[in-house]
Amino acid sequence: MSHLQLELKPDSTALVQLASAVERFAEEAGLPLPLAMQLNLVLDELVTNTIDYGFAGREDGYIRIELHGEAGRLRVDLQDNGVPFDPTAVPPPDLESDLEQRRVGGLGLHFVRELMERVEYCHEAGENRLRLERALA
Amino acid sequence: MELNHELAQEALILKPAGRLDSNTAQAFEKALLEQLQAHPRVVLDLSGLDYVSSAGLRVLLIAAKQVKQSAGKLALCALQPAIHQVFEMSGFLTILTVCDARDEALARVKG
Repeated sequence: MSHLQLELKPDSTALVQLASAVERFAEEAGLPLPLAMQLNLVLDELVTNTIDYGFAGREDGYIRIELHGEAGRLRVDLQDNGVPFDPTAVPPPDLESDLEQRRVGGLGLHFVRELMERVEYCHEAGENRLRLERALA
Repeated sequence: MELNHELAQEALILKPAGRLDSNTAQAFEKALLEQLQAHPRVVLDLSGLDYVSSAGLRVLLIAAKQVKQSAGKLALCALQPAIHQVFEMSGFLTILTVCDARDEALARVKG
């Protein structure tokens, strides 16, 4: 069983801390490199969204992340005290239009859905709570 | 991250290196768009790019749109496997000119 807990402040150091924490977890859990990079991408996209839109200059913002690997499954729990935001309610991006028509943006949450098998959201006790799951291989 | 450049066969070759994420995307966007305004034929050699998130893809899409509008040419090459996968998930392999080798990319921007 592998386990890692991390609390990030919503600032420019968050992504660097996140990347090194994912690296530590990946090593401990024996994740293959491609999966470690996918996990980093998924968390990067979610954390970046929360930092960009969640706190509007507030000083008391936090993002808590828990990574849990057991019995071939990876579980990720994210909690933040930013404005309520349900990433599972965001419509999928446009992946079909040609270059001129293609809209800029919206890909981050698409990666989360593509790379994780389950994504569940709730808002409880003043927190956005997101649980992600997938196979550990 | 770094953005090295060199000139070859009438084209500018840009080599971004490191991580292209929301921390680095803004500076990369400014540097890239400046180079694209000055050079109509550009190859982006991504062999040194270790990581890209949607913030980085946004910059590449804006750059490709600008090149198309100004009737220039832009080709990308030498994507690492993880970067290639992110391009594939994004549908970027069909809207951008993506080549395996640098020579191929140079040929595409000259043609």
